[in-house]
Amino acid sequence: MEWDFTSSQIMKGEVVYTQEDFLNDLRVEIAENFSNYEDQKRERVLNIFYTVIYMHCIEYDVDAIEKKTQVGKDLITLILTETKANCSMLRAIIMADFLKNLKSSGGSLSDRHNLELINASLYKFHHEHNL
Amino acid sequence: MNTTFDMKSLNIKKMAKDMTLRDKAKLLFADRNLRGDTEGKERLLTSEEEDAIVKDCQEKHQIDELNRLNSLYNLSIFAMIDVQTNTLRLKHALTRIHFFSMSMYLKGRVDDASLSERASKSLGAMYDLFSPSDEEPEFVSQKDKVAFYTTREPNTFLQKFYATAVECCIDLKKALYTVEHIIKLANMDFLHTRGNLQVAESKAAISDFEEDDGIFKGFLEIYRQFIKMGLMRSENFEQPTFLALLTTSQNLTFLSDAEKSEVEKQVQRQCDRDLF
Repeated sequence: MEWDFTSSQIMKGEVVYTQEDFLNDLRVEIAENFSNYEDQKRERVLNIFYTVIYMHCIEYDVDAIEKKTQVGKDLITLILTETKANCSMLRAIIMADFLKNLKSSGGSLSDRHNLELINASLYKFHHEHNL
Repeated sequence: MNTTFDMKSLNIKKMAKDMTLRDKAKLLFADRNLRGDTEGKERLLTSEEEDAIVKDCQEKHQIDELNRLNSLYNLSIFAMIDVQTNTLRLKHALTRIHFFSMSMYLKGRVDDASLSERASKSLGAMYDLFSPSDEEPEFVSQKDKVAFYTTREPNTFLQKFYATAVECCIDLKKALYTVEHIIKLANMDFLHTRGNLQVAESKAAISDFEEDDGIFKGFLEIYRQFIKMGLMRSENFEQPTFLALLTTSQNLTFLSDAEKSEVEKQVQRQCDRDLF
């Protein structure tokens, strides 16, 4: 995917780009690259791509990703090679949320509790989108 | 500046005969205020002049009204003591909130830095963000996690300190309203310089509490986020006031018409008791 803003701009709060936006953009890209697939199969591809990118973004290794997605290591490595920019962007989105939580608490939020909020938010997002 | 007013140059006894009741009353109360402010060292009127004013009121059948105003004046003195006491109570309550919030903030930083278990324990679970504590058990399932979150509520000490501050703020507002109502009934401002300064200080204390923008406010935002994400219970807090603070936009220190009416009735009862 390509953007006319950087991951740094997202972290600084100069640009608002959410997980929802990211997922929608990824869906569009999958649709373009797999236009001959039926909807259900395309959703499965989206799910795999997103999960691989997300798990890599939160620093799971290839073995762990393979175990979770049931996708072969070669494919995982290929996805990660082709989606380097996507990983940076998703990481920036999560970091931006972390910083936003910290800012809205006036600095009172500890890292540990901030992570708890982030994890809960991610869990909710994934649950809503069947990821 | 010599604040002693040389009343010998004015014949108060003679002037009293031409004064309205309100002016006579204002003079009497101004004299009492000055005596109060200077611990009896200074006064506006001599004893004879004071007697002359009162005697003039008796002659003109104004004594009942003077007694009524006098009763209200006395009430205002006691009401101002209440204002002063409740201002101190509110300031103390706010200081406790600030101190405790700072300790919670430091505990969070110590926990993050994992400086040492000893450092963390010395600050104690008392300063954890949540009650019963911040420690989470090992979760077997998501269901266990959700069940755990329903046991969590904001730090109960912080809740208690806040609830106390709300009580103090309401008591102070009632005391200020009492003074305001007495002045309205008398149609006369009894407050002298010190009284006006006290009222200004009290209103500032209320403002400091209601518009607090420090670490405590930060924690309120955190708790609201945790409720929103289902990471904490959203009902049955130890202090219902704190729950209302997080989940409603209700002004918790607002003085209702019913409360004002109760203050007015109390003032009337006191007046009636004094006069009869």
